[in-house]
Amino acid sequence: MNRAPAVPGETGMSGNAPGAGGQRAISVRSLSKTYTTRRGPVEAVREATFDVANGEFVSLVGPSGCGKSTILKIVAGLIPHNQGTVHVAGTEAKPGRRETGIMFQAPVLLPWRTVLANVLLPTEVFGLNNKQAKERAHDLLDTVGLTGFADKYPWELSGGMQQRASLARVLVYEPEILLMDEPFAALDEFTRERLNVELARIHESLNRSVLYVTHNIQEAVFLSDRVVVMKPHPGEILDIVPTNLPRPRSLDVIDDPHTTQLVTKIRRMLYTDELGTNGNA
Amino acid sequence: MATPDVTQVPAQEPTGLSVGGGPEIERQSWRERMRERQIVSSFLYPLFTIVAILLIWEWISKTGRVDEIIVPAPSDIGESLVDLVQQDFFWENTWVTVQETVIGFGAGVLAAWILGTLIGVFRPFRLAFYPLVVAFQITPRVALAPVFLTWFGFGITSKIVMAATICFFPVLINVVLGLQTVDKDAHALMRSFGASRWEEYRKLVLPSSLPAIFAGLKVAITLALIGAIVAEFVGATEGMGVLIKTFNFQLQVADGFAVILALSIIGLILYGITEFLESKIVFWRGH
Repeated sequence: MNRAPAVPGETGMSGNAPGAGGQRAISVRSLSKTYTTRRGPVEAVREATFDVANGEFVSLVGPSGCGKSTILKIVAGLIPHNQGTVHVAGTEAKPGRRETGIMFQAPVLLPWRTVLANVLLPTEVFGLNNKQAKERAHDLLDTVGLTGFADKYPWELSGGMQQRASLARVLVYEPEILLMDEPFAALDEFTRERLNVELARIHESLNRSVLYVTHNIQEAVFLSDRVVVMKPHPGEILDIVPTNLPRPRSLDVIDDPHTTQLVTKIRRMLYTDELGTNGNA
Repeated sequence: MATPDVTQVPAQEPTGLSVGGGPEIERQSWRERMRERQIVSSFLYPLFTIVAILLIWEWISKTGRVDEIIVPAPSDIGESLVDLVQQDFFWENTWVTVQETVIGFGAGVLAAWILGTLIGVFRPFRLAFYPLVVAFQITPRVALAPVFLTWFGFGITSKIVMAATICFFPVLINVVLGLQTVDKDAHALMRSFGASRWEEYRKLVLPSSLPAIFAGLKVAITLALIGAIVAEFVGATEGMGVLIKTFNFQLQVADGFAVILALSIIGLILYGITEFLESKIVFWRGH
């Protein structure tokens, strides 16, 4: 077991002590998840342990079937887990909490709502003050570059713009922790890169904790403080790689030799696991 | 000789300019004309077919190839309709049928909506009712008309029940179908906000299923009219179905046809209203 959790396992982390858990937005300990399918049990995640510190950007990266999306959904409280503990903002993971906000690969905008109404949807469910929420929504639409699109309908927007609206929607109720499940994977390369740069900027200015799932190593390295590298069948953490890249992250960081080195290192790690060689095969 | 030439040139220039601007305008108007022509032809062709059929029909009827009593000429039918719309009894009977259709439609839709939602949302309901519903669907519901007559009498109620029964299915099926079309991620999103089931239904499930429901409503509205008329045939004292039967018994076939024509116009109007509501309510459809 050469997996090295960056933070040593912790016992007795009280569920109702947000002050004590304040240092960690997310704390995952020995998490295992097995799905029961018609063809029998499928082990999706085995003994995963990692943390996301407050304000930290952590990526889960790995090929399909490595359980990265499963972990994210468990953290979001959307699916139960079998073993281990998952603490979010100091308490057990559960849905319907204002501390977390989730974003998917699809923008999931409701076509009968305008962009503004879509952004306001969570504030309605959470029962937040409408006037303040509206102001914040307009500000956020400016932040994500959708000024003047408030009254448009989702289908009038390009894929990239829809995902921007989706980002504004998750930010509107000011969750401390963002859970992002390959949010830009369906977009073309140029749009994805632009949105990555903007996400980095937004993360740096708002200082939210982010758990980001992707299969794109370069994206993971560019955005993250630490990259959790995962292998499939069953999903296990191979290593947790700190990036130590300078912030703010700009386009220069993408071309930085250190970035390239990290990308190569992670890619080798995954190939080595897959082929049992040093990745040159 | 040179002077008149010089004065003539500037005089011609405006003309030359307008000619120069001509092709641009002309090309646009040509394109518009093509579009207009397409629109016109989509009306003209069917119109031509209808007129041709009517002319042949008129000719067959008027030349006595078929007895006018059995197949009255279109002109006679038209005349009958013009006569009928001036009579109070025609409008009274029309009103009865429209009432039966619309109330029956409303009742059928409401019942289908409630049961469909329960079936779609609650698994036990689905297991308990869906097989029954399908079994009932296989039964030709028109066959129930005499039963309804026995149960609910000659009045308007038996017709409403028939109309409701016949338009129940397409709506129910589409309500259940609509509930299944809800986006999985949107469902997860609502859950991540901690939305209650009712909130999720109101803000996500219901709007998501509206396009499918409207597809059912458009089928149902025409079926409701059929249900009302069939029930009237079986036993009634008023309504357009009664008019058709009576006129045919009295061998006033042209009047009978006129009522049928009026019926199809009513059906068209009801369908048009449903489609209009669909375009207003489910405005995002097709995007």
